[in-house]
Amino acid sequence: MSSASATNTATDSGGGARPTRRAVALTTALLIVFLLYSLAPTWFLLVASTKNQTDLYSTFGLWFSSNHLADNFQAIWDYHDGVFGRWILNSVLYSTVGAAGSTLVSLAAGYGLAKFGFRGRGALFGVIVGASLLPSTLLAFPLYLVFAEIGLTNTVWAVLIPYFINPFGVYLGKVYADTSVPTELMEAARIDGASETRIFFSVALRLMRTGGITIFMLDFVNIWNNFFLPLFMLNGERSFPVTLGLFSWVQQAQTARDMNTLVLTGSLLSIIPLAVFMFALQKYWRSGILMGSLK
Amino acid sequence: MSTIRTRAFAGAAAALSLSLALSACGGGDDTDSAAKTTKGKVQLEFWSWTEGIQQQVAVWNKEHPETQVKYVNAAGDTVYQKLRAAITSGNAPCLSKMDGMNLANFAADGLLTDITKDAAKYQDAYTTPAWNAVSPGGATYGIPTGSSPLFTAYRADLFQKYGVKAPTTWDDVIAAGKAVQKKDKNIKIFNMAGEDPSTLVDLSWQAGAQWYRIAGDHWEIGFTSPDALKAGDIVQQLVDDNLASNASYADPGVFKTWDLGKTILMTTSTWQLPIYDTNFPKSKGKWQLADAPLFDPAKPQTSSNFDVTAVLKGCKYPDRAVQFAAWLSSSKESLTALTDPASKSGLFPAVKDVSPYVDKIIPTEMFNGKSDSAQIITTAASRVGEQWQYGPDYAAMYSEMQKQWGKVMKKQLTVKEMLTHLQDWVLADLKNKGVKAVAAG
Repeated sequence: MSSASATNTATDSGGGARPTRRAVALTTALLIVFLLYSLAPTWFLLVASTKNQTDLYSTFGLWFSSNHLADNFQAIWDYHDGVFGRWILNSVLYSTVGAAGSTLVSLAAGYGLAKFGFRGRGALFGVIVGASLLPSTLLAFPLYLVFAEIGLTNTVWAVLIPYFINPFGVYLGKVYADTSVPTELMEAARIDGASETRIFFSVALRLMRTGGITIFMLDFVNIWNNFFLPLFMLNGERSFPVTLGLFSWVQQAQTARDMNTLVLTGSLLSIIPLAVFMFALQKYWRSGILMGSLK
Repeated sequence: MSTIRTRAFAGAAAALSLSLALSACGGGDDTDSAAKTTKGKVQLEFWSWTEGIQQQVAVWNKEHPETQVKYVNAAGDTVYQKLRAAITSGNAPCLSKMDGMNLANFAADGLLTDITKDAAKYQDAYTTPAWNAVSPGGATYGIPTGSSPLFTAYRADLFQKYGVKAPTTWDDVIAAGKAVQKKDKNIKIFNMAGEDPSTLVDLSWQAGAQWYRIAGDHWEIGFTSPDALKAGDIVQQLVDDNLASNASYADPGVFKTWDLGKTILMTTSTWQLPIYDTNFPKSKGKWQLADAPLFDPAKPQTSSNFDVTAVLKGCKYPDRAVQFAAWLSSSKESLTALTDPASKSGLFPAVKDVSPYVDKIIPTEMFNGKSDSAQIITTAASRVGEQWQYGPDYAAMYSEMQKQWGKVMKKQLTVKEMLTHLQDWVLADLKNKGVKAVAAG
């Protein structure tokens, strides 16, 4: 602990020994470097999206030249009758519905695994943890064949249903159920005559709310950034999420048409909804993460 | 980020296409290539990602109520893996955009419909090399859509400054490169990217080489033929004498290499012309077009890439599909709209007479007006070498070549060693796939 506090003083606010001045300077410097490292790509994106095609290549990348932001927005808006707006809406739809479904499934399954004894529980949990190690990329093609068999490819269900199932979410759900739902409370509810369904929805689910929000946020971000599943499942640009839409622009930029200003401005616009979402739920995010780590 | 994704994906997809190829081998007997005439109203699905095609599909649909085409904008090159998956599961479209090498691979894997008889009546409209690109091994599987014949652009002002003349042959290019370097060590005559072996393909095509050649029931593989080695030798000289810069085409700012006058000559093609005025802010007006450098002035020929529209396995109405594809890429109505730079298609026709479509694609500010740009483009389109053929594993060979090419650019490997390796690799690969192939000559 004493050796750790020398380098780790900035976060050790409740500690005993006061940090030396050198340690503070060093930590601050490191943090500033890290801040620059994290912000540089966003800064580049911000600057680049104000440039036109010519300036993009011929002027310094990290500083502004003449401002064409409005033109770029216009170009994005004009492209195929505003399909970009549609992509953003698709992303919001897939992420919200997908993450909500996945959160409910994860909490229910996690609750079941944590609170009910049944034969093979340990093995089942092991399989689920193991499944969370499988890369989703690997599953995209088999999933495609399965969905083609039942005739659901190129529908919104082809992306939503796979999103509902998330082994890592189930794992988190179990951890949260273990820590936040006291078995005594469940017994009390049973004595009062509540059914198991009622206990789950009215008691357990409320107690696991913070955990649920963490799972929801993790899923939301994962689905927002997902690429392979929609790539395989969806045909035609009007059903694309924004990741796939931007990718199709990059592809065009490499073949016939110079679309790099569109790609850059589009990327900037596409991070706004995610940023808003993260800031709005920051409070829960932090408490949820901490809850998992303290136990 | 996206490159890592694509690369991982390409790897997975390559593994996948192998397994699909194996399973597809047994099932290629469902067509007897007899032309059947479809009656009544039908709907076809068509995947493409060329800008401007969608509008032409709408025009076609209005004029042809009996053959309605459903256009699907597929997201670029990943379409090939997706198409394989769709064909396996029976959800494939009737038609899809492809490039020549993928058409050859799809055909070899039994994933396309043989349309030789339906397509025959349209053959006359297209150039011979374009028709070769849709007919790997003799049978026809698609209709050519566009071409991109190669020619040269060079900085006329800098050529004058360094006292060199515009090159006619590749030997001239080497000589000019050396002469320029005597004046200024940092100036390069040419560019070759470490990730892109297409330079060698172009040179081999121009030299009259045939990496693949169908001979009756088998393929002849000629990576080490005299003509192929002649092309390889030019690349070797460019590398050995440090005559070429190595800017990557994956870098969107690659144009700077030429715009700032560090590299003073480039081979280029029709699809690039419309974006020159925007991407060469410093040097526009100083460039001049010339014919692509030659190997043998007595037999002048250049190279090209071809965009094609392939008819996929399981297409129920190949006759209508062919009719539409031919209209799209040979009717004056469609081509006039598609070749207009305003369509942003970047498409240049693969038909025999390109003269009506040339003038509009020439940028207004890029060239100095001292050569007849239209003449040079038309000449290039008319002298694309007719001998080049895409073999059954061309796309796989190309990715193998890509790995080796990087080493050649770093001088860890000679071009000749690479070609010898490719010769053995292709022979072994075709043997594995059960395709009869022998070394040429």
